[in-house]
Amino acid sequence: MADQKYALLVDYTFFSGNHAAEIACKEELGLPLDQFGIKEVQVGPFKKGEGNDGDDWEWFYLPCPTSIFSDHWGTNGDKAGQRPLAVQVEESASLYYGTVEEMQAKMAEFDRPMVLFQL
Amino acid sequence: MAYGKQWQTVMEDGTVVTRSNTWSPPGSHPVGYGVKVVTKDGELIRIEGDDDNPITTGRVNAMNLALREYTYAPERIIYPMKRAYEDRGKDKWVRTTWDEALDTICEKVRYYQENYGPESIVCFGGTGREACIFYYALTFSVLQSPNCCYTQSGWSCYGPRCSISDYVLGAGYPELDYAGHLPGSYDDPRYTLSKWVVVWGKEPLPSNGDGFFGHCLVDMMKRGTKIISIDPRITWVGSRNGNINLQVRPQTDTALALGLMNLMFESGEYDHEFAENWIYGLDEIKARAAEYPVEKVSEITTVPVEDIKRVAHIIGTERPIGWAWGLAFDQNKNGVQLSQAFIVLAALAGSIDRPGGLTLGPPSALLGKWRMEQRGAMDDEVWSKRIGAAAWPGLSTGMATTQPDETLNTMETDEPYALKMGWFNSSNFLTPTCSAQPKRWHKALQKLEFVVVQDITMTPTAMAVGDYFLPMSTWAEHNGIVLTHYGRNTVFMGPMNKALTVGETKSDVEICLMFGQRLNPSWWPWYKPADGKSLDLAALETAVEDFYSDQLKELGFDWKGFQELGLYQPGAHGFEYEKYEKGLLRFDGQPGFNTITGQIEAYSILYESWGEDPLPYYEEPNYSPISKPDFAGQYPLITTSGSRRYSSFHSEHRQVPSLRQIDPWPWVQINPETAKEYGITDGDWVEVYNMFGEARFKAEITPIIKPGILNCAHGWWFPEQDGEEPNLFGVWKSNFNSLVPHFNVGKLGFGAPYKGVMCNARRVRSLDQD
Repeated sequence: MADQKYALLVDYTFFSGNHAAEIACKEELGLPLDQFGIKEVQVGPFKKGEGNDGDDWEWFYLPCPTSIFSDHWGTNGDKAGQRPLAVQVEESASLYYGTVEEMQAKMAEFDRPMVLFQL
Repeated sequence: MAYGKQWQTVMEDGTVVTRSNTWSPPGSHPVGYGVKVVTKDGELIRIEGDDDNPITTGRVNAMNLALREYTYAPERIIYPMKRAYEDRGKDKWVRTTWDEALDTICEKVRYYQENYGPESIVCFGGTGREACIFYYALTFSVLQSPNCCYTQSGWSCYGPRCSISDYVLGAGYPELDYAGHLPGSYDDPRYTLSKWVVVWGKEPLPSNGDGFFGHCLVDMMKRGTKIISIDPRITWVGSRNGNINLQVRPQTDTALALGLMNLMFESGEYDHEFAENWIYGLDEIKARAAEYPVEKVSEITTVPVEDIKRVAHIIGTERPIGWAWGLAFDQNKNGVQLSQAFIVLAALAGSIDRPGGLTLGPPSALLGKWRMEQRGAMDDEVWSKRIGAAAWPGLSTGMATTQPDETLNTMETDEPYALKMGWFNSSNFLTPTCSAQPKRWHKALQKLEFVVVQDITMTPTAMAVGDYFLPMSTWAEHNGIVLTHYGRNTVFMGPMNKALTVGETKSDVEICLMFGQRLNPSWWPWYKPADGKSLDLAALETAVEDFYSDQLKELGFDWKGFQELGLYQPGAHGFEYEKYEKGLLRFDGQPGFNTITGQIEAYSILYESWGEDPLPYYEEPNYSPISKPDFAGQYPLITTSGSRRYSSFHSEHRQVPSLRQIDPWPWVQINPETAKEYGITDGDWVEVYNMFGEARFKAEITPIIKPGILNCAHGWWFPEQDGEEPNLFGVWKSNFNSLVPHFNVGKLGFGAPYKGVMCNARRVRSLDQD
């Protein structure tokens, strides 16, 4: 039987860029200042439409799991299958963690763009 | 991992997990994030979330997650310290004991009380923190002085909104109904989700203002709520699909409010039944609003006519409409009118005290009421000496403090009397947090003969003027109660449970109990040290529990029962909507609102009695290129300030490495067009200056702000720099409040232009080099 794969699912329409997941990984893994388990990247803000409504703007964040994160929560990681502190505390409640199969099923529940990180 | 609902759990390996709710210090508003504090052998291991908290549901913000770093930061002060008067400004602090500090400070207090009157002692309180409950008590019933001061010019933070709510609406702070008071949260059968929420002059996700858990807006958006964002910036919330942005010119919001109202009256799209039953002065406000036709309002605010019309139609016809009003209502000379107009708009939208609209509480309750009652410790003669109270009744009726600007004048002139002793309770206001013209304050503070500072880390303010430093415990190191809105609309209340001890730090209430026992035992009967005098830690612990048990009596709990309860939500204890219909808002038990007329006063009887226009009106900000055309060439830009980020609470957290990494330098947001015009590229150091002062920031070029408008960071100092005078941790280098005028406030004494003053900008080489 193949090794179990795990994934981090991000509802990035509503992920607010609040940095809680970054600090949570540092705390849970005891990382030094310059290392990250999750690092946020920002896209935008830029104007894409003529008006000034939300639909006329592009602005989102992605919480990117690093290899440090995958080493712990990915296949055969010491924390594989356990909810990461980052997933619990992230303030917009837009991160999900589980097996790849669970996360694929979860993703299918949404009708908006999502990002699935296979760890 | 999950640990269950009990307040404390000891694991097999000796790890202790304490269930708690956060407040401060370190700073935050009373949000009460539900957390689990994980400790081992008395050391803080980490903070985790509490899945069972119905509001935060396991979520915790970055600042609280970094508590371990804050707790063990080398800069933290964990023992009482003292310094000779002649060494002020120098790093010559020496460790002392609580007993010595108590002896000396109490002797000084008695000396000033007896020789100059208790009013010669002034207590400065910091914003948002647990101190907001206790600095009133410390001033009134411990030190027995009437001079409790929040130093922000025009009291421009929360106080104005609360006072106007009290005057116009006869209630405590109206908060967006995010079902926080209901145990069933959004699924509680009593709740209806807001169809739209108007988020006005507020960015609640990073700020959590007044205890409102800002990310509830995300929860609501996920369930289908749409947002109307009224802000000079496009915010992340405003930029979600389906949301509408009214990008208003700073400080012109009152014109927009009146313009929206006028369109609703013109079209007839408003809640007629509510308006006719419950608004006092409906005809007068219609006539006043008619002075603000949409074209004129569009010209004043720079918001397109069609967008204003679209929003007026939504507010008038969609239900329910929720409202989240923010700091921009307070940091505006015209803000009293804005708050009044806002309450009328919410009433016209049928939002008042209805599901998915705005919730109401009494003007003060629970600990919030207790803090106000402490003024009874002074006789009327002493109370009448409160600085600025007689001259500013429109402020001093709603607030128990001094008028802040008047306080600086008193300190500078010694009129009507000299202030001799100062006590800073969690306030670092030389840093650009609240006081305007902080260099004037710095000079004036030097005149105080004796100064006590209560804080958690060495600050520029403490270094400049402190003689004694009393070290404070974090929220994880003491027992306490967190309640949203300081008792002015208690959405929930939770225990802060002590999980560890660091050094000899003490909490706000412990400091009040210790000094109260010495200085005014009849008001502070709880603490009973074994020999009547020396620090007795066991007696202090008992005193804290007894104090809170007394506070909780009216709810039918004692401290231990409350600890086990974990969270108190009014929805489980008889909360009702539409209290005005049921006689639940007025002290006489009659239906209506607790105002003079019993209605919501669009025409304010109290404003009129204080010489203010009883109806809302718009006034051009008086430091704008429009109102000061002679200066428009020199200062053609407008800068706003005060917006929050996830990495700090005002001046706090700058020394915490993982948070400083997020926002390493003070920033100024500039539109690309303006940046090009000024030869500024992203990351350049920029000096922003006007006729009052200057401050330096790193440029963030962004389209979210319009050309000609800047947004400057506040709260900056540099803990890594030389702390001694004259550098004071670099406190003057990026001090935004240097640009804000002193005493440029509204007629009631409220509101100063922190969010809109004229300025100019130039590129410089660095923080220190031109």
